[in-house]
Amino acid sequence: MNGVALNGLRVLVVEDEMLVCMDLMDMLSELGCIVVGPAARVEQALGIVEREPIDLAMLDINLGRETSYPIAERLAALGIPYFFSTGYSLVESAFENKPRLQKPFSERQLSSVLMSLGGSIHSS
Amino acid sequence: MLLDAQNCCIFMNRAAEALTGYRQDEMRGRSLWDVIGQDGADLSPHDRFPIASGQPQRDVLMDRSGQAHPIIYTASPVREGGEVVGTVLEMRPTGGDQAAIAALKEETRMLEILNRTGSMLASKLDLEEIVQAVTEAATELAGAQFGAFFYNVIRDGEALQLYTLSGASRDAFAAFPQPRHTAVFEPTFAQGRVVRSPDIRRDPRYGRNPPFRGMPESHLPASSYLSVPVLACNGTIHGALIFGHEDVGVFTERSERIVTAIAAQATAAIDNAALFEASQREIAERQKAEAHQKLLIQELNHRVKNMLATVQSLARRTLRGRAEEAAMRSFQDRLHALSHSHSLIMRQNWQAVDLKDLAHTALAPFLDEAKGEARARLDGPPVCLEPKVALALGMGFHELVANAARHGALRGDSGYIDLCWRTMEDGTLHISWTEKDGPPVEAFGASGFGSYLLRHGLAHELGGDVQMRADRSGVSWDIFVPEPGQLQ
Repeated sequence: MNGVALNGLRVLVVEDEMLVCMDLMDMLSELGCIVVGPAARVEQALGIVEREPIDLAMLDINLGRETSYPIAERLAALGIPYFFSTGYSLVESAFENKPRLQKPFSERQLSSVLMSLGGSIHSS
Repeated sequence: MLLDAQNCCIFMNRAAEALTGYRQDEMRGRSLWDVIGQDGADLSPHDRFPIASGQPQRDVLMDRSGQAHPIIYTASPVREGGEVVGTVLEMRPTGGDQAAIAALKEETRMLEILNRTGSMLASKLDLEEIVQAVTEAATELAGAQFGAFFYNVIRDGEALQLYTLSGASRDAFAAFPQPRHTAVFEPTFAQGRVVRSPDIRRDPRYGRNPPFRGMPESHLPASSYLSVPVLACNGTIHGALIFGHEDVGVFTERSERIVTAIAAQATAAIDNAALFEASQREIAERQKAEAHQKLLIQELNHRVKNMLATVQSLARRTLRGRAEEAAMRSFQDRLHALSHSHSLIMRQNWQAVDLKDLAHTALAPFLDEAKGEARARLDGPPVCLEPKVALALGMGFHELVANAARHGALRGDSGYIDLCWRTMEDGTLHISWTEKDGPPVEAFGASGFGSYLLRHGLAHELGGDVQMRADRSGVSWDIFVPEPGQLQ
């Protein structure tokens, strides 16, 4: 059912762990989403944000030596919804109220976050 | 009073009669020493009353009734052809009461300064302020023209460092090299003794050390000298208070006593200040270490979570299309249970987890009170679990919940879990899991990995005992954990 609701949703994936990223792309594909990216660096992600149409973004907070907060700020400015996927239990206070998925997470948890953020936008 | 050459009374006026208590006719012809001054037993009369010195002298006169009167007297010789033929003795009571009041006033003033210094010292923790206050109070009380506190600096040989000054400007000392443990300073700075000299320039210890052999030129003029050590509570010598006055014989035994008292107060204050400084330093260091540790723990948490995520991805990709979906889901649920226990431990900075939080996390899907679902009752006192025990029990609870959902009381809509715990007398934690009102039990308890983990793994890892009972009304488990909070 989720698969139908999320069908064709364009999701930007920002994740620097190779295996996690591959798995994530599989899960998103199974849910019917179109993966945009993936990006493993802030600059790379910001470039994609400017070039390609995106419905929704999922951001790993910690990207090696940088964090994805600048991407979040750009997305917010463009009005594109996003959520964090993170191993961190603490998030910078400015982003504390943003939705996030605690790693590791299941397909069910992923699809419910995608539904709550992207389902409505996509259908409208 | 008029005396002859033998100091016998020739004449005395009314005032003299009133003062001594003798009438003139009683005194006439009698030696002065027969009548007054009987208290100077160890002195010959002439030593005691240096008659004919011409200078005003102080003494105490005993009247007829034996009462003492402080007096000032002048004995002026009466000469005839170069020969002393008599003495005019003028005696004036110094007004014992007034003198006493004046002395009392002086004493009060001193006590006030002492008091003020004492309470001021007790309230201050800044070393420089303390030493300045001590120097000023001591200079005033000792009646010195100037006073200084010198620090004993033991490095670079035995140098003394000027710290605070009172009654003189720092410029007065700027031209001189740092003083050392010279013969004059040595007894105080090295041996902790008081040196008091009416005239330091005549002291045998003075002028013995090169290059100046005495005070350097243009040094503040000093004759009277007093130096009192300031000792730490462990006996080391912090430094000394040094006082000077250009007049000779200014410092009395009393000034010495007072300054010694102030130095003792200063010692306590300086020790306090040093302790305070040390404790401030330690607190700052500890805060820094704690912040660093927090950062490390956060980094560790991050890595653990990422590692679990990677393991999950690895398993999913490996098993894709090869294993049953149910098996993959079981694996994922177990991994998440481990991850949740981990989160709880992290939140407590890897120290201790409360049993109730752990049970709550495992049973969370069945405790949704918003939905009116409370399929478990948790009851027990707060129990701290060490991380290892928490991880093992977290996994154990997960298996129990999964079993109950598949085969036991959580399968239908009616059953519930009664989970209670208590600490037994020997400190062993007893956890009791009882399934109630569920559908009739078909398979007794768990099988496969879950059962193995509960019965063997948990018991093994906790060094305890795990027992299962099952009858038609449901399954119950008893878990015994010796020393659940003991860090190994």
